[in-house]
Amino acid sequence: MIVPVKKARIFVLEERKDELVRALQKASLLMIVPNSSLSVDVTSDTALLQRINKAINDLSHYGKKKSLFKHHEVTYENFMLEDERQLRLLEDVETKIENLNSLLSHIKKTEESFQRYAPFREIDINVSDLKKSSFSRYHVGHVQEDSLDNLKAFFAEKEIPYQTFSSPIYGTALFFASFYEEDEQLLGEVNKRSFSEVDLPDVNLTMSDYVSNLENDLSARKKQVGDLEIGLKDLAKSKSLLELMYDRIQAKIDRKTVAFAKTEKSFYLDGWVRADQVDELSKTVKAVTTDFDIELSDPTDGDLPPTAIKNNKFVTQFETITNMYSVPHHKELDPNPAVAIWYWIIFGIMMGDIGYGLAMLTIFGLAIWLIKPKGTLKQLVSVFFYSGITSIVAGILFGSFFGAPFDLGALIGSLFAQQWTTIILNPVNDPLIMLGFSLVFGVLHIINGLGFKFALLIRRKDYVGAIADALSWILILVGLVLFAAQLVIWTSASLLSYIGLGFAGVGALLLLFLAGRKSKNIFGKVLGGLGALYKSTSYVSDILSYSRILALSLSSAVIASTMNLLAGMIQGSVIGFILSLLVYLVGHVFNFVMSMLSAYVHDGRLQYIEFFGKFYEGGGYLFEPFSIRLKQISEISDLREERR
Amino acid sequence: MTYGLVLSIIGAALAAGLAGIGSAVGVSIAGRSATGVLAEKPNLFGSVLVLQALPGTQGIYGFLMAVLILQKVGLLGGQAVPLDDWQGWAFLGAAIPIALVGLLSGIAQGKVAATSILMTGKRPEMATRGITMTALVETYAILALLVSILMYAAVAV
Repeated sequence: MIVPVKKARIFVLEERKDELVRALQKASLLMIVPNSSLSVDVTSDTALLQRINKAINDLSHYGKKKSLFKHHEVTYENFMLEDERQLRLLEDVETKIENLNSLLSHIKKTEESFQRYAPFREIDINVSDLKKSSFSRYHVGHVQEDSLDNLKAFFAEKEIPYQTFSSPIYGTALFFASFYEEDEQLLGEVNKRSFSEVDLPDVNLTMSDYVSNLENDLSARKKQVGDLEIGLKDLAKSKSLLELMYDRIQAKIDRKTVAFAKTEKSFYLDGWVRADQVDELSKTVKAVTTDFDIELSDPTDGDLPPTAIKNNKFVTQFETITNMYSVPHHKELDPNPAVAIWYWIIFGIMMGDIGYGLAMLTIFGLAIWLIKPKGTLKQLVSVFFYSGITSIVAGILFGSFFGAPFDLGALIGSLFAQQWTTIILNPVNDPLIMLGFSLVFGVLHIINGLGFKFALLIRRKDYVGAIADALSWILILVGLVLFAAQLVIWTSASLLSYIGLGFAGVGALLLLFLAGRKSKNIFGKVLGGLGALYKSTSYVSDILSYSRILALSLSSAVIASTMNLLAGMIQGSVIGFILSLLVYLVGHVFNFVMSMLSAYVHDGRLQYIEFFGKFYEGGGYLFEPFSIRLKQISEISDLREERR
Repeated sequence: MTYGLVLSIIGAALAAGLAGIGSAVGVSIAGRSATGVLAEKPNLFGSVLVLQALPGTQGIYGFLMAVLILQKVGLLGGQAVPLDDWQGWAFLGAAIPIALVGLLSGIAQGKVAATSILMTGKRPEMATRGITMTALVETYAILALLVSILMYAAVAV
């Protein structure tokens, strides 16, 4: 049901502004219309928000694996509390992460130098002596294995002293000396033999001391990293404080960005309020201040008010199906109760298996219970949960349990020694009957859609339109169904078939005479009438579209029994038996998932195109009152549960 | 000696084979767009996956038809039923609609799925509409499956 909304303008004095916004946010009653005249600077808050977000992300590497079953609930008082510990924790995390990052980059550099210099640790000379010697030059570097022999021969020929060391990463490490007059030329020759020089470090130590210093430094830093990580793991335990802070700051930003407009003496706020919550709103404002005024007015034609939808707990879940197509316009009838029932039943028929229905109840029931999803996800999961029930019912009527024949009635009957059965139709054995059933189901669905159109046009006082565009088609469809039912059931014409033909005839005449009513001249009227009758082809295709109910229930049933057949064929030995369990499992999981996907998509299509096509306008937007948006924590326990 | 059994096996092979090719090509066309979108927006994996899976149903329909035929002629878990040529041709004919429509609609649906995936990449809130538009293509595969099943059911063995 669509609840009417009213425009509300709340006047308050400046000093009560913040308190009012706080109360409104808590009450979640008013959808505030943004006011662009005043801009508020929230850059420092958004910066803080980003810092918190980064800290939460950083901490998530150190805490336990993120659990799906996390449910974090606080009271409103604790939520609003500006807890010192939150900011301290944030700063603590930031410092630790910063230290950690600089340590890690230092370690990386040190490791690189360690690998470069470690091969030369056997050179037992002070590095500064190697550098400043006045008659000779010393070189250290690496040579590739294949040029080593060439180079050794070259050194032997020139009588150059050298020393080689093994170096696991860079080939062979080499140390040689030369006279400083010959150095440049010699180095050129050596470089040609694929020598790459390593710059010596700027230290007053022997290489071995230098390398072991590097080693000590590395192990000390790594220990520091370990300590920091332990510290972070410790902090990660109180990550929920940061999550709380994130949502609190977000709520604060939301409050700050509520812009009041200004009169001479007071400030005011425009918004939408549900007509049935007006009293609650004034109570909320009254609790803040006595100096206030609320002006209420109905939306005028120029306004585009939000659509506030209120349904029972069952129908509410199916609103997500409608909203995915389009949110209802505020002036039309709420299609959700009808969508809920049709979607629910059609989904069940398309699955059509007791086992799959039980699986849906279990999986999605557990998901609702353990994960406690929010918003549209919660709605979708609930839709699948509820559809598990219709799947079981359809499975009982089709006699299918994970694709195997199963007659619940016979089972119960055997207890009382009776020949009972609950199988009324097996789509695999009687596809034609099932096809007829699907099409009749479609006709009923379409008639329901036309009924919506009829009611809508009546409500808009377009009585001729209601008769011409809706009632006429209802009469034609009902008449044809009666006629067809007569033929199928009694196989010969009788009174009922004449009544059916009469209905259809009256409907066709109504169409013929009224559809062209808006044209001025007689040709237009005639053409309009004929054109409307020609539209019956689109009704034929709409009704045939419901054959997908048969096709999908057949596909899920036949593939399920195929999996059983395949598993049965390999059950000869012990190994075969184990393999067959695997086939059962994989096969049924595959079929379950694909059937659910098909049912979800094609059930939706039947609502969107065949059903909504008859009457639905959509194009509205949802009534979303100003409230605390929760992203990180799950729920504020003492606030009324938000509907979305 | 009749060719009935051979013809019905060819029918089953065409149904599973051609419709399977259609789905494989369709899913791969959609998959190429999906990987591109996911590279930019990994969090859209759920809706993109659904869209990519949509052209996969034709293959299932073809498989379904093949299994139905094989079961009826007794090649799956039973004794092969003696078929005359007429019955063989009938089974082959019954397999044709889902085989041909499955092949072509699978590819066509893959293209719509690919563009819907790109649309989802730009506007994630439009994913469901993309799914609906992609599902429209499948209508004709469903109708073909239906005709195949009705023809198949009409053949007496």
